[in-house]
Formats: sequence, C-alpha cells, structure tokens
Amino acid sequence: MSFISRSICPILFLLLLALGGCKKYLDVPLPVNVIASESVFGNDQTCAAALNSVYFNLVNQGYFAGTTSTTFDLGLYGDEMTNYGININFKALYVDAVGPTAGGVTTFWTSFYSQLYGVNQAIQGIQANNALTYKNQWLGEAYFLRGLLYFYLTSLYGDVPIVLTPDYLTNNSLARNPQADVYKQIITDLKQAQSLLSDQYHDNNGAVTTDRGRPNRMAATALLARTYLYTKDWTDAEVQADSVIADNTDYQLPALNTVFLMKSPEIIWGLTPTGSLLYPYQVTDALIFSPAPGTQPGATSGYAVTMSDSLKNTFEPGDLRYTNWVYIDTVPASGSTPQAIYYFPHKYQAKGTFSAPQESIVMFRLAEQYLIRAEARAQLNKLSGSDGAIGDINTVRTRAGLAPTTATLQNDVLSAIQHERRVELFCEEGHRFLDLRRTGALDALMTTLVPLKGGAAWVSTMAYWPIPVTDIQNDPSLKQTPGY
Amino acid sequence: MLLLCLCVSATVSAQEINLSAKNESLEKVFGQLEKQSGYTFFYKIELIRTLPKVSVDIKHASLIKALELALKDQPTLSWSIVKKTVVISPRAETAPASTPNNKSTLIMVTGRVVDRDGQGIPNVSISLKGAQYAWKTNPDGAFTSMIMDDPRSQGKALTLVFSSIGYASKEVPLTGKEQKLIITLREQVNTLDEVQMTAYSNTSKRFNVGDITTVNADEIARNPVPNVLQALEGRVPGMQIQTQTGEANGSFHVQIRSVNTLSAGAYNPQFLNTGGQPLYIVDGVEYPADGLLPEPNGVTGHSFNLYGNALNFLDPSQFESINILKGPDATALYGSRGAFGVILITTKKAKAGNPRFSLNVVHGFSNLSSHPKLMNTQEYLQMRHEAFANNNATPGASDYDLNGTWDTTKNTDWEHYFLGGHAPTTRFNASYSGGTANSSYLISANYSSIGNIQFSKGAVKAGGMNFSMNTSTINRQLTFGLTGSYSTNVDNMSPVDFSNSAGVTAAPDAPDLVLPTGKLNWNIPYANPLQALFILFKNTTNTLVSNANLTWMPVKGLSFILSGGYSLISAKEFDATPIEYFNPATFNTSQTISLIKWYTIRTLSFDPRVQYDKILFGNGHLQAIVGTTLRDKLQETSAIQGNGIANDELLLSPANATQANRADVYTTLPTRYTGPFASINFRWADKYIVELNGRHDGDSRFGPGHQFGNFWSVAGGWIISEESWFKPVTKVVDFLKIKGSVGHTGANSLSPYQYISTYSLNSNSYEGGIGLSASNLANPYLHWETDKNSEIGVNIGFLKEAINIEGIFYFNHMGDQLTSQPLSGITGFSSFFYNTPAKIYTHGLELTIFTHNIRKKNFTWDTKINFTAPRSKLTAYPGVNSLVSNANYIIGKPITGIKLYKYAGVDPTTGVYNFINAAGTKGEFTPILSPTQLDPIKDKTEFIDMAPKYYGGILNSFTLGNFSMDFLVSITNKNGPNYEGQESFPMGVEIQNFPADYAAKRWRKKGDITTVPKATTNFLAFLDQNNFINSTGAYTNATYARLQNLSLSYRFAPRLVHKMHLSGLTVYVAGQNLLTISKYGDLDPENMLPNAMPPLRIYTGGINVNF
Repeated sequence: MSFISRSICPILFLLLLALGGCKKYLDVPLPVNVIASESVFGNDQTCAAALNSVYFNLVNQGYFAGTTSTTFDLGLYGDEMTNYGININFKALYVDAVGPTAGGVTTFWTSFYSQLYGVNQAIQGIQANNALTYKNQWLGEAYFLRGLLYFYLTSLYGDVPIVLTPDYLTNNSLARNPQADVYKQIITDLKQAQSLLSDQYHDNNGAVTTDRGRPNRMAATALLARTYLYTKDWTDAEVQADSVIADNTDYQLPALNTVFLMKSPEIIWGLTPTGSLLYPYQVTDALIFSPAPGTQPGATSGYAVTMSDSLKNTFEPGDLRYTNWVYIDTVPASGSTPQAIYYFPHKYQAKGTFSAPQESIVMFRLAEQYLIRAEARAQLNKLSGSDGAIGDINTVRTRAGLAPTTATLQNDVLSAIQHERRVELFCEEGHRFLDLRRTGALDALMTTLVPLKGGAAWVSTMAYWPIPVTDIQNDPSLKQTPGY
Repeated sequence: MLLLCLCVSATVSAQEINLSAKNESLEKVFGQLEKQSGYTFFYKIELIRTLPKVSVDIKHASLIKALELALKDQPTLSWSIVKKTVVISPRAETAPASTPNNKSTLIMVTGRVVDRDGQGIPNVSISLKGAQYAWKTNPDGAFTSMIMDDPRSQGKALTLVFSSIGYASKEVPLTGKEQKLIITLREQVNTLDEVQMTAYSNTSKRFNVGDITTVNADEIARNPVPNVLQALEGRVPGMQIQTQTGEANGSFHVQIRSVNTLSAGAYNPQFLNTGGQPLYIVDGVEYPADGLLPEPNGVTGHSFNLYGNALNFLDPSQFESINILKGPDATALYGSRGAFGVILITTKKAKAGNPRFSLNVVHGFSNLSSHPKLMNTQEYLQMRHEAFANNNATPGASDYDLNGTWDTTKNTDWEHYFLGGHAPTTRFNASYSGGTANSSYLISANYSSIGNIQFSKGAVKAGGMNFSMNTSTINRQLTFGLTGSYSTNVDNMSPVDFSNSAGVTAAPDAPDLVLPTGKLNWNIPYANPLQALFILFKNTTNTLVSNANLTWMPVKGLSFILSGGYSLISAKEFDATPIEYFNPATFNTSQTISLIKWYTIRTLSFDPRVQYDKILFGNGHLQAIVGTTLRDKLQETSAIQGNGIANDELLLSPANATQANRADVYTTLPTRYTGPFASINFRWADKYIVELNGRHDGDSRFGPGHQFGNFWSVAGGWIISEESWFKPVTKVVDFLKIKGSVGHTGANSLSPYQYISTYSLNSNSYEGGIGLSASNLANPYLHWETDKNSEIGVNIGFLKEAINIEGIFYFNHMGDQLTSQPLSGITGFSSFFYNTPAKIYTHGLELTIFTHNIRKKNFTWDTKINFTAPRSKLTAYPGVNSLVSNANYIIGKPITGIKLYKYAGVDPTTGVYNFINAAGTKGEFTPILSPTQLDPIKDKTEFIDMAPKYYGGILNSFTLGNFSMDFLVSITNKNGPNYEGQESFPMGVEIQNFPADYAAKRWRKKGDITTVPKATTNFLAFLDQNNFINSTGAYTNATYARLQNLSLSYRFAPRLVHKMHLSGLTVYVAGQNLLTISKYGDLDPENMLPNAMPPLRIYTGGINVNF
C-alpha cells in the first residue's frame, strides 16, 4: 500500500463514520401522495382542493342522496316511505327502532364531524393567508359549510358539541351544547359567509361560472332563512327569504321537469354528483327509486323502498308535481299474488352512465324560500296582499298547475303551508320529518303511525337520534342522546 | 521416525522476494518467505528454534536464491523444494527418498480427504500416530505423504490420523508400501465451536455472551418447503412461527420471545401483526419480510394468500445459515431496529477449491393435511329437517336443499371436490464453485414449481440465480467480496381459496357447479364459486439482493470495512374479471374490472466500519468495532384500474377503459435511518468475557427533536470450567459458562410521519377540481418506545460434551408504548398515535438440550430439544378498560388475551346456549329478546390468553452407515378460537354444512346434556351465536404436536461414487407436516382459520449429485 492509501483511507473512513450522526441525512421528503398541512392553504388552488374534498364527501358518502341519506333515513323513520326490504338498517329505521348500533343513524354524526375538522382547518388556514386572490370566496364557503354541517347535526341529534378549531386534544373533551347555542353559532357563521361571499357563483379556480355547485351569498342567505324559520325568528326569516326571492334575475321557478337539472334557475345551491365508476355523474336517488318496470320491491337493497300511501294520497288531484315527480310501477299479478301498484319519488330521473352531470343534488331551491317567506309572514299574520303569505303559497301552487289556496285564516294558511311543503319538498333531505318536529306535530302523528309501521310505542325522545357509543367512551363529557 | 507430507499443488512461477531482516529468528524469516512466495515451508520446529538468529538482505531474488542467502550460515540445515513445498531438514539426516537410512522403508501414501458429499476438505491435519508432527491437505483435500518406517516400529502397524475442526477424526492403519486412500470424514461439529453470526462479526457458542440460535444449510435443506420460515418452525427456541395458509406464496406469523408492544394493535394469533416484528437482514441488507406486502391481492376482494411474505421470493437452497438474534447483547448493534429480534440470513459464499458442480433435484406433491369431515347428505338433511321441526316451521321457497329444488339423493363431498387435489412440486438447484485462496467464485441457479391442491388453475413458478465472488491481493491486505441474487416468482394461480363457505361448506345436495355443457351453472341461489377460475390473474415478483464488501487490513488485526447492500422487490400484479366471471343474467358491462398494480420496495444500506483485533498481554483478546449504518428505504406503489371494458382482449390493459372509467394511484413511502455504533469485546484467558455495545440511532419516522436515541447493552460471561479449581469436576461437567446482559433499546413500530399533520390528494375531486383531505392527526411528541432488556444464561456440557444444555431467562420492560389512542368522532378522527405510559413486562425461558446419545462408528443418534415458555403481563395502563380498544386488557395479565362470557353449555330443556353472568346467574341472555342481557363489559368474567404457554421441538438425527434419518416433532401449547366460534349462525339457519362430529353432538331432545345447541331455522339465532362467539365456548385448547419434518437419505459410498466419476451422490425422501396430534377439533391448530387453507402436507423425493 502506498503512502496515499495508508493515510487517505483512514481519513475517508472517519468521514464516513461522521455521516452516521448527521441529522441532515434524516431530512426525508414526505411521501408524494401527502403534503404537510401548512402548505395546504398556501395558494388558491389548494384552498379550493381542501374544500372540494368536503363537497366530495358530502356527495359521495351518500348523506344527501342514496340509501344512507337524510332523504332516505328520515323518510323511512317518519311518514314518507314504506319499506319492503330486508336490509336490517332499513327495517330498524322503518319501525323506528334505531339505536347506537341499529339503523345506521350514527354515521351522519361521525362523517359530519369529520368534515368539520376539514372545515375548521380551512378556516384557520385561509384566515392566516393574506396572499390569496379569492380569500373571501374560500373563507365564505368554509363558514357556509360549517353552518350547513351544524344545521344537519342539530337537526338529527339535537344538542351537539360546537367544535370550532382543529385542536383535537381540546375537542376530545367537549360536551354537548344546547340546541339554541348551536343555532346561534350557525347564524354567526352564515352571517360571516354572507359578508364574504359574492352573489356570483365561482368555480374551483375562483372564476365566475354559471354552475351552481359551490355556494354563493344567496346560498348562505337561504340557509339563514331556513335557520331563522327553525328558531321561529319570523322577522329575520322573512327578510332573508325575501332577499333571495328579490333576486329574480338569478332565481326563478321553472317548469317542474327541469327543477333538478344542472343550471336550473331554481337552484340556489346544489351538490354536483360525482357518481361512481359504474355510474359516473349519476344522482344515486335516480337509481334507487326507479326499478325495472314490473319488479316487486323487495330483497335487493336499492328498490326496496317506496313512497308511503299517506304521502301519495296527500297530492291534490291535478297536481303536476304528482305527474312529474312520482314514478308509478305496476307489478302484474303472478300466481296467488294480485296485481300491485307502487309509487316512487322521481325527482331525480337521469339514470345511467354520463360523461357530464345531468342533475344536481339540490340542497336549496327557490320554492322552499317562497314557503319560508310564506310561513314567516303567516306567523307575523301578514296573510294577504302583496307581502302576504297567501301570495307566496299561490306562486308555488301555480307552478304545480293548481288553483290558488282557499285558506284565509292564519291557522288555515299555516296548515296550507305545511301541506304545500309536504308535497313540494317530499323526499328531499327529510324536510317533512323536520317540519313535523319543529311545528310540534311529530309526537301526535308518530304515536299513531309507529304501531302501524310494525314498531313499538313512540316516545318523544325518539325525535332525535343516538350517537356512537365509542364517542361517549372516548370523550367522557359527551352524553348519549336522551332515551338511548 | 519421520513423516513427510507433501501437499500436492500446481507449480507457480517463481516469485520475486524482497526481505530485509536483522537478528530475526529463522522461524520469522521462513514465515516471511512463505508469505511472499506462496510456498509452504516444512520443518521441525525444534530443529530451528535453537539456531542463532540471522540477518539477511534479499532484494529481487528468486525463492531459490533467497533460500541460499537465508541459510548460508546454517551448516546444520539443508533444503529441497518438492512441488510447492520447501522442505528444511537437518543436513545429517537429509534422507532423499532413494537412500533409505537404517534399513528404513519408505511408504508413499497419496489420497484425498472428502466429506460425506464427496467434496474435498482443505486443511485436514494428517499425523502419524505417536509422532508429533502434523501436515495438512491442500484446498482440494488432496495429500501426499512419504513415510519412513523406522525399524523401531517394526511389527507395529503404522496409523495415520486425520483430523479437522468440524469433523470426527479418523485413524487409518497403513498396510502396503504404496497406498492411495480416499478418506471420508464425518462432520462432527463440536456444538461449542459452531460459528455464530453476530451483527458485524462472528463468534462461537463457547464465547458468545448473547442469545443466538444458528440453523445451518443442512438443516434447512432437509425441509422441502418454499419459504425458509417453514423450515425454521419448531427449531428455534424463542421464536414462534405460524404458517397462516397452505396457499403458495402465503404469509407467516412470526414472534420472537413474548409479545411486548401495543403498537401491533389488538393481538390475534389468526391475523398478521404489522408491528413488533423482527428485523430481517439478508447478507447485511434489510429485507422487508417484517410486514405485509403492499399488495391487497386484487379487485375481487380475495386475500387468498393473506398478503404474502417477502421471504417467499428467496429460494432456501441459497442460504448458508440463519442466525436468530434475541436479547440485549445480540441485538444491541441493530439499535431500535432489533428491538423485536433479528433474523440474520447469510447466503452461500464462494469457497476455494477445485471447481465443483452440484445438482439437486426434488420432486413430490402436497395435499390437504387436516380438514373437518363434513356431514353427508343424509346427515345434513336430517339436521335441516330437525331444525325446521324445532321451530315448528316448514321449508319455504328459498330452502332449495329441502323443498325439492335440489336432488336430495345427491351427495357431493365439496371439500374433496375443491381441495382434494395433489399438487405437484418440483425443485431444482445447481451450483458451481471453486477458486484459489485469493480468488473464488460460486454461481448457482434454482427453479421451483408449486401446483395447487384446489380445483383451480395455475401454479407458482420461481427461478433465480445467485453468485458470490471473493478476491484478495496476494498478501490478503485487501479483500473484496460480492454476492448477488436475482429471482423471479410468477404466480398465476386462480386467486381464490375455496376453504371458505362458498366452496367447501355448501350443502352436500347442492347442484353441480358445472353444467354438462361445460358452462357454469348459474341457477343456484349464490354466486357460483367456480367463477373465480375465470379471473385473469398474474403476479410477477422480481427480487434482487446484493451486497459488496471491501476490507482493507493495513496491519494485522486492524481492518477497515466498507460494506453496502441493495435489495429490491418489484412486483406487478394483473387482475381482471372478464365477462365469463359474471352471471350472464345480471351482467352489466360496467362490472368488468381490469387492474394492474405495481410496487417496489428498495432498501439501500451502507455500513462502513473499523474493526480492531488484538491480543493483549498474552491472554487477552480484544475486538473493537466502530462504524455507522445508513439506511434508505423507499416503497412505491402505483395502480391503474379500468372498468367497463366489454372485450376480453381489451381487458388485458386497464388503460383501454375510457377516461371516465379509469383510476390511477401513485404513492411513495420514503424512510431513512442512521446510527453510528461501537462495540468492544474483551476476553481474558478464555475465561472472562465482557462486551459493550452502543448505538446512536436516528429515524426519520419521528419528528424534529425526537429522531435520535441512545441505546446500549453490557454483557459478560464467565467460563467457570476453565478455572483451575473446577478441574476436579471436569470429568463430569466439562464446560460451564454463565452469561448475562442488560440493555436499553428503543422500538418504533408505527407507520412513519405520524408526527406531522398531512393532507393527501385523493380521488375526492369535485367538479373537476382536485381534492385534498386531512389524512392524519399529528402528534409531534412521538418518540421511541423504551425497552429495558436483560437476560441471564448458562451453558453446560456434560460427559465429554455428550450432553449440552443452554438455558436463558429473559426479562423485559417495555414502556412508552406507541399505540393508537381512540378519540371521540367529534374531533374528526377516530384515533391518533401517541406514547401511552402503559408498561408491559415480559419474561421467559429458552432451553436447548443437545445430546449425542450414541456415537458408534457406524451408528449415531443425536437429539436436539428446544423449549420456550414465554410470559407477559401488562403492568400499567392508565385508563385501562375505559375504551373499546383496551377493554380486553387486565393489569397483571398478558395483552394477548381476550375477555369472555362464561359459557355454561346448552340448556338441557331448550337446546339454546347458556351463559353465567357476573352475578353467577345462569341463563340464555339472548340479546334484545331476553329480559336480562349480558353486559359486554361487566359480564365478561373469563379471560383466555391466546399466546402460547410453551412451544418447542424435538429433533432426532440418526446415521446408520450411509443412511441418515432426521425427524422433527414440534409442540405448541396454546388456546385458540374453534370452528363453531367462528360461525355467525348456528346449524340449520343457513344452507350450509357443518363438521359431522360437531353436528353429531347437537341437542336433539329435552334432557340432552351437550355443548352444541339445537339446529334451528330461526334467523334470530345469530343473537345467541353472537354471545357464544364472545364466550369461553368459542375457544378451545389448541395444543398440538406435529411431525414437522421427516427426512431419510442415503449417501452412496465414496468408492462407488468415484467409479461413476462423481464426487458425491445422495438420494433422499422428505416429508413436511406429516402428522398432527391435537384435541383442538376440526380446524388446523396452527392457522386456526376456517376460511384459509391449512398448512399442507408435503412429500418429496430427491437426488443430489456432486461432480
């Protein structure tokens, strides 16, 4: 060995050994499929992406369309649907025998709080970044989404914990807040959203679009109107609904067969369906409520549920909503089984594989705002005239091809509004059940209905659903919904 | 008396000699000349020791010239060169062969010393009995000796003694004047001197102060199995291996010592843990056999080989030895990576010697080993009718098995139909090796094919090559070694395991699955299980493992070593469901799926180190190693899925689907690890041993400030039998060592990057925009689990080492347990990772007894017994039992257990399960329906631990002449879930068959005392069954003894073999998993799974030829 190798080699070795203690060596890039949370709210595109994920989950986890949706679950639980299926969740819901492990009713809770984590992260992240071009849009959307999620959480579970930050250690010890506080929070968030959002619709690049898949100021207003209605703040409900209706260039009542189509002028905000690999862009409701002609509803999970007789019978003769939004399937007699006729909600009709969305999962539409304004005005005893409830009722009835309402007294007008809500908003995100409950009509109706559906006795605590047992175990301050 | 032994070697051209010595002994001068010339010097040491020292100055001389110069002042010596040997002899006694002295006769003996495979053994010492001197065989085992028969020994036979470390010595009497001998030495490793591999060096059982078990190539080769883990089952104390499935390329459950971490999640012996797994090192580089392969086996949701194991891709024939390292001393140099044990795999290396070619061919078959015998049609129908009678019901329209839809005279043994095949197995490997002392090589190739015992298509075919080369400079200052292995495993077996209910437990009167037309019968109320045969499936896994090693030894004892390794597993799996897979009545084009997945796991490691060996003060032996490890691991996965491809040919590529029907994934998982280390081993007088190991570990899976940890171990050993005062008892106890070690390491069994909150881009796209969603909750405080380890051990050898016993007790405290802490859903997540202050204490006994029962010339019998009793208990867990996730934990009990209701048999009056609640009340407690019900927390009064209480193996080896036989019996004592405990419905509810012996015990009428409930058709019986599944009735003692391996071989006698121009020939038969004795019941007690094939029984025959 030469002199060089004799002296160089050991030095080289020492250098190599020194490498081992080097901290820099451990600076490894994160996996390519993840990015650190701090960088998520760094630019407009990623802010939109973080919110996209929330919209996607609201669509794809099936909470607003399909067999695990508010439509389906509240429809079965209340008086809108009849179950023929053997699915144990369908059965439990139909006979009003849900529990923390029965009926699948706790999944809304878990999913909505999981979305809230994303929304709270977004609010924190977007607020901190002043370099965003569409900061107000993204922040407004996030506040709107928080309001929306709390609206459905409190609608389903009553008192719920208000979680406003992503700090999981603090959140894990929160208790339920009274429903009134939840409504206050919703109103605060929606007012924030109103102040941040514009009247135009924006796409995920922040550009103005005619597509109504992301909320604008009117979406926040519509939800605010609904929230005031639920809190019996009639004056504010009227103001908010009125401001939506006043924007008659953007929002109109089109023909019934186009109400749920994408870009329908009635839609204030709707979720754009993503569909599945098998059925791209399809709204799941279109699939589950339209069996092949002549199929007996039953065993398979999808076509097992029909409209209830009471709902079907509520339609007045000549109601175009019945002809446009109800699918009638006649199953011919076979053997000893006589012919039978089944009625399915048919608001969503586009079934199959599409290359672009055809229908929107409509979350807020103008007709509801007319009915909110009508109810608010009726409660304020503004019945007739240009700012009267009757006018609003008739606007909705006229589109349905019906004669003006005959109600004139306040109570009759209020009943007429409830009737109108029932047939206008049937099988849409559980409006009927929530209306029954907020108007105090629930217990009376369910006490008679539940035994007829094959269930045990109705108890008024059953108006709200139970939450997951593990959540109560993991957060000792959290209590189960009363009655479960 | 004089023995001349001349090693036969090829002549080498003259060397240039440079030697400058002043006042050096002749011994040293000869030593230098030997080193420089490559010639062997041959002399009596006494002859030259007394001679005066010499001074020489030789430059650019030939050997002859150098010898002349060196010996010019030595009148008493003469020299001669014979072949490559320099013979130094006293001038007076110089006796050329032609001139016998004192009527002495000269006997010339030539020959070769070979092992039982016919391979030459180098460096065998040959001596004449009664004489002092010994000579050695050349690298090929050959020797030539010239013996001068002294007149004084007239009348006595001359005897040559052949001896070598690792072989039984042999005495050969000389008979004629000239002899040609072939001497076969039988391997006989003194167990104490068996080489054991340590982290960066090696040791022997004698001096090892840690816990290492070595399994060598011979033992591995006796097992006709594709995965080396199967060959280790039952052979290693402190390591439990459980085959999870009989499917080829299946997975294994490996546990070293006791389960001591919560990071692996809830313990279940039936399923694989991804945490708490040992580290696998193949030739110095990490090999990812410690977790599931990143391959979920396709779109059809089948996990037929239960996620596989990376060792399936390395042919066991290429392994030289496997060392299992346990405990603080042995694993300390692996730092945190070795916290759960280390499995060190060494492949066969190049060895010097004449070129030799070895060929091994095995053929055989495997079939189903244990299987429940199910009811035949008559018994089955009787049970179903009884079920209806019990419920006062009559068969309805969907009871096809009873209502006349199916032919009730038909009787199909579905198990035989689906799993009754004999799967052919072929293995083949060939190797070629040889070389000189300075340069040697090995190349080998292997091929194997494993069929399927199922009614199925396809096979697993694997093949590969590996090589090893070593080269060094003449003076051996610089040596370089390179090893590499590349193999391909192609699995195109139908991805299905029919062991589940859709196949095997169908009603025995169910209709044929294939119509006479050859088409599948779709007119059955369930999906035709044979549809799986139409799945297009092919998994190709390529594996490369390579290692390079450069050693520079500038002065004796000091080595600088650079070693680097690279391992790469890359796999592609194609999985598609064509039109034929689906029921044509409900088929929709969009149902077809085509999926291709790729993954690679690449590990690079680099271990530069300096090693220093020095003899100190005559009696001390010091070995010090200082080095560092850098490891970089990257896992990548990608996939393309396409749906709705209507044409079967287009289905071969998922990219043929339309854009909207396609989904792609690409993920990476990079991790890095670094750690400088130091190790000092000091041995004094071969009596006292002290070893210190230390390591500074850094791991990228933790966040800033928590990445580094310092870990260490201290070990000591005392070989008492070396003490002079012990001598009186050495006749009985000839070896006694006590050893002990303590260590502190860390463990890090959690998925990386939990310290940082991340968002992942996923398919959550909305209106054409990408979606990012939070993927985890961050815990920046995550840090190492702390592992305080200690062990004490003893090695005793009795009666000339006829009995060797090694016993080790280990104790371990594991704290700061990394575990996932459940959270309330209102946080948005269900859990996050954190270091819980929970503590687990584990301890246990490992015992190995090795006895040479009989050691006769033609008959030997050895027994090796290993025994392990692992214990563990949870010593602290704040908030235990407050959550579902820790409901089964009890302070003071193992974490491997489960809390259960107390099962009280079947109610003699109702035929329904009875349980006893916490209050001691006996009842049915049917959920929902009964007035009182069992509380899932309070009423679970019983506790059953599922970890083995003890396990071990007994290996007996016999040789009789040229025959040898080995058999290994493994024994495991444990509890496990039984067949009925894994059924969701009791008998009768579904159209499903049950084991006949179980069904025969069912309750039939009032007063029957039994443990099997009545047959029922009531759907709600699942409620009772659910209580049963959570009761002691669902668990049974699964203790079993298994004839794990039996091998019988015959080696043809060397003389006969040589006549055939071979150097060795062996034929053998071997069997695996031949017999199981257990009271466990209907399932296999090893995998305990009703829906996965049990480990198969394998029979093979083979031939091994050496040229």
